[in-house]
Amino acid sequence: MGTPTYTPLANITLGSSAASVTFSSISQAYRDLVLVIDCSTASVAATIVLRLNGDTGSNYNLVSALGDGSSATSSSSASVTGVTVGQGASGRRNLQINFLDYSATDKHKSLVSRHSAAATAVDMRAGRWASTSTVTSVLIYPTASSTFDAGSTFCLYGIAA
Amino acid sequence: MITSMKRSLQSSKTWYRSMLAGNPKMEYGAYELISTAYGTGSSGTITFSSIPSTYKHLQIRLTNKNTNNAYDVLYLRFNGDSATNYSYHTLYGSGTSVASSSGSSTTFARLTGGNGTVDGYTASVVDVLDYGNTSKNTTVRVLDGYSGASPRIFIQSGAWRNTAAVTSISITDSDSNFTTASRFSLYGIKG
Repeated sequence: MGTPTYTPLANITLGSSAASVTFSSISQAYRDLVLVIDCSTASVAATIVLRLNGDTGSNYNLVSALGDGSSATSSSSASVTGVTVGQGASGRRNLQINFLDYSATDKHKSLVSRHSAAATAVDMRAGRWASTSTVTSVLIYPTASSTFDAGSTFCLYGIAA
Repeated sequence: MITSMKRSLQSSKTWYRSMLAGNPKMEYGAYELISTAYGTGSSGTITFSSIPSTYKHLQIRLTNKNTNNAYDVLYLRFNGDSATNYSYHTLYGSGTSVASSSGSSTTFARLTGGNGTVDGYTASVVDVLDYGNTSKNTTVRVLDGYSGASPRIFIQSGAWRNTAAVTSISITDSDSNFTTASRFSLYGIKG
């Protein structure tokens, strides 16, 4: 018989708009994290970015593939200050972000994610935080001086290995 | 409401007359860890065998890198079948363009292997759907990729043209061995 896992760690529903959401003091008892977000932002131009452990340095890398209904494009960024996990979009959107081996100290931290914004685009991304530190906090924020709207939900799960 | 419970002949069982506070919480997981394996540095294959038939779907979560520090393809195979009974499609971004590839009558379903970035590992989430159903072929969906030298993000689909229930899964690096920090975890999802 297997060992039950996929444990809810935190669940945030915004009662009012917020410039960012932070999960801190993340338990190190798991191997992977899954962050599920259902949100909208005040600005349709706002991308959604995440940072780990409060690191604001140029320590993030990412690659994306996006389809907006008329074209499919791909881009990459190296040594940037955060991982963009969601393209700018109007209306509600959802994201699922998988952090694999977040509690390991023998590798950089990798993530794969999907972002769905039916009114705008669908995209997928792979990201890397160039640090072997364990992940203890996750910050998510919209760019373009925007905010997450009230009612946006952010759910963090831990998966054991 | 449970009003009585007769004690079993097995004295090791604990019976409760109610589920009110004070009794330990009983948790029933729909998502369970079955097994985890790590690379050894001297082998390019990981195998999950004797997979329980009690779940509806399987998920494999892995981070991998090879000892050649190079980009490789991983071969996903079922029940030891390495014949041309697989097919796959990919859609991927390379950082400069979006492209697609496919294989029919291949000897594997495709996963993304390691990359050339030091300390950078490829992350993969693999869903094996309805793996125990003997009325259909086994299908696979994958989200994986890495960010580093020659970055890639993939969604992939795969199929094993065999209606047998899946009892083993192997993942093989096409060119070299998995590092010791490569990790492969198999989960069962009830349905």
